[in-house]
Amino acid sequence: MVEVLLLILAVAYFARRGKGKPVTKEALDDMLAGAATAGIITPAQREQLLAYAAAHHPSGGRFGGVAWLAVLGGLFVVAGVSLLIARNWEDIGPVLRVGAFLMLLLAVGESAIRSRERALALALPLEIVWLFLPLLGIGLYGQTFQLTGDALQPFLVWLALAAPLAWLSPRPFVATLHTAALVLVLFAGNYVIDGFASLFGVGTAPRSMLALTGEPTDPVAWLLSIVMLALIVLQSLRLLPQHHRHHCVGVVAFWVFGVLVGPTPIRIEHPGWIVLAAVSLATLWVLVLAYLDTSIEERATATTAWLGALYALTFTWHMTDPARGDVTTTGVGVIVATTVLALGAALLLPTQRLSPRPSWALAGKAAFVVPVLVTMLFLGEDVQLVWLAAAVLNVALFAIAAGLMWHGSLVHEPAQVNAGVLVMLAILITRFLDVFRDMLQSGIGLIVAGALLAGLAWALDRTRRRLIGAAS
Amino acid sequence: MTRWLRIALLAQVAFFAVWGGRLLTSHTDAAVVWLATEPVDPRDLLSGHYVALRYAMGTADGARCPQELRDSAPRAVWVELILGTETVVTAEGVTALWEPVQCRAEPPPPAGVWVLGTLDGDGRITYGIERMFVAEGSPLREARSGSVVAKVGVNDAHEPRILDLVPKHPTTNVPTEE
Repeated sequence: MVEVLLLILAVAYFARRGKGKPVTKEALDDMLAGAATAGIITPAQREQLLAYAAAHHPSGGRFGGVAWLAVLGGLFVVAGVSLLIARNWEDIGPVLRVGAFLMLLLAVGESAIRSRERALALALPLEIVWLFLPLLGIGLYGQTFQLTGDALQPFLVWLALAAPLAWLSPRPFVATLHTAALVLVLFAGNYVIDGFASLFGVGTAPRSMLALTGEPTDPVAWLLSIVMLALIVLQSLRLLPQHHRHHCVGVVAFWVFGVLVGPTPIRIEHPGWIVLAAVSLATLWVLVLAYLDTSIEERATATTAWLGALYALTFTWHMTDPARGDVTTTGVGVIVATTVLALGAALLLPTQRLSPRPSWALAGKAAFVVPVLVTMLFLGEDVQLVWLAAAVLNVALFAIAAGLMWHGSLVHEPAQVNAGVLVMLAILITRFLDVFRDMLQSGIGLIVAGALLAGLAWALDRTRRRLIGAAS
Repeated sequence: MTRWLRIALLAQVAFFAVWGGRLLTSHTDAAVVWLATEPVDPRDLLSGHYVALRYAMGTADGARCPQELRDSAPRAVWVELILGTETVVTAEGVTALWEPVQCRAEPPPPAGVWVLGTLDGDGRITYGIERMFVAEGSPLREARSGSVVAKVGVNDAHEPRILDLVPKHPTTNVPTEE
């Protein structure tokens, strides 16, 4: 029953999404041809516009509603086949199981190839089923022949077998799923599977071939992880839709952070070094995307991570002791290198990547450099340095929020204004609750606090509207 | 592009055909040994329910591996099994359990029953027989520790594979042997 309700909800959601589908190449071609005939644009301008559209909106760049429904259909079929295999049909002999699977793989693959240029609703589910069939086949063989081994190996073999589909598919869906699977397998293999096994005492499974945790260190696991990371970057840049193409920078940043805080041989347990790593990596992530001249939407995740890291550090004025913990030389080396890279990238970034106004671009550079420098205070042995860092970061975040609002109105960018308002609201509410926490114990205190917050919301909303009005 | 997709499909089919063929033939006429087990019951995301198994030879101590082998882990090891003195009663009759007697780093001589395993840095040895996949309604899923024995086939390449997991009969029902 729940599955049916979910299906209805999904159909309704995706059908609604489908209404806002982008203009197709054919429709744009027709419209521009009409405009050229009517004398609104010249034939040369029509060609230029078509070339621009092809460069900035490659076909399949966005997932429409029908496509999502087709993906959902394919995934349902995959889940169904998986459940059928999991039933373990003991009455069916191994020869029949192997033969039936080979026939199914051949039939699905050939059907997907034949239908790839035809209806999307048929071709896409077939491609999805074909993508997952090798994984289901490995599971079937494992069950039939009682195979036990590395928990990650079947997934790695599947990813290798399915890679040609990701690269040869005319649509980005298969590549997106394949790349997401690469990321999941990498992180699960590096940090999760072995930690989970040791946590729950599942001692019968061998150590994962991707495990970076535990002793002794396995060089093959590191090499394989770096190769997978390189493949994720390559596939993201070459195969993913425009708006998801640069998520790979964040994946690399998270992977480096995982190596530093996970139970790996270069683990850092000193909170000061950990926060410096987090701020430096987040800063580097935003700056790389800025250097690549990505859109505001493409930078949204990186900007959220960067602002989130700074916001989290504003709470550190509650700390009663300075940060202490074990470090490794290699770990510290990685953090120092990342910090130097982040500072260098901020200083060397071309100013027009941050703002068309040179003075604002310099302010932007300062917004990236100052938090990294301030975070170094967490390495000090005196807790007063931590409090100083927390105070400066509060001021810095407030300045960044105000700067985003102001700059957004100057360069006509409402998204920046909204982001600035959100950050400002978060800081003000948090500090308000921090400072007046005791007052909230009484009824009068709650009324006063509520009135103050309502006034704050009104003032911020008014400012936001005025700035957005100026921006547009 | 269609040509390359067909090549990819044929490569996948060839991979599964060769692998399936090898799995179908690798344990025909294999030697059979019976091993005492300690089962627990988790689930595999890919292949459904299974009974996880531990064996006495699953540790370097249990398999009697010398210290120098443990120091050079992870590595492949060969463990020799011989018929032990302990017997159990199953639906297939009274059978003696096999026990590990020695462990070595080099491929063993042709005589005797040797199983190939991987010794890791924690002193565990895995043989690829640590799981027995069972149907959803199988009573084996409820098997308690030590209540089942594993029937294991060992081929000429010393690769073990679980053939069956058989419940032990209560000793009170043991038919007296002449």
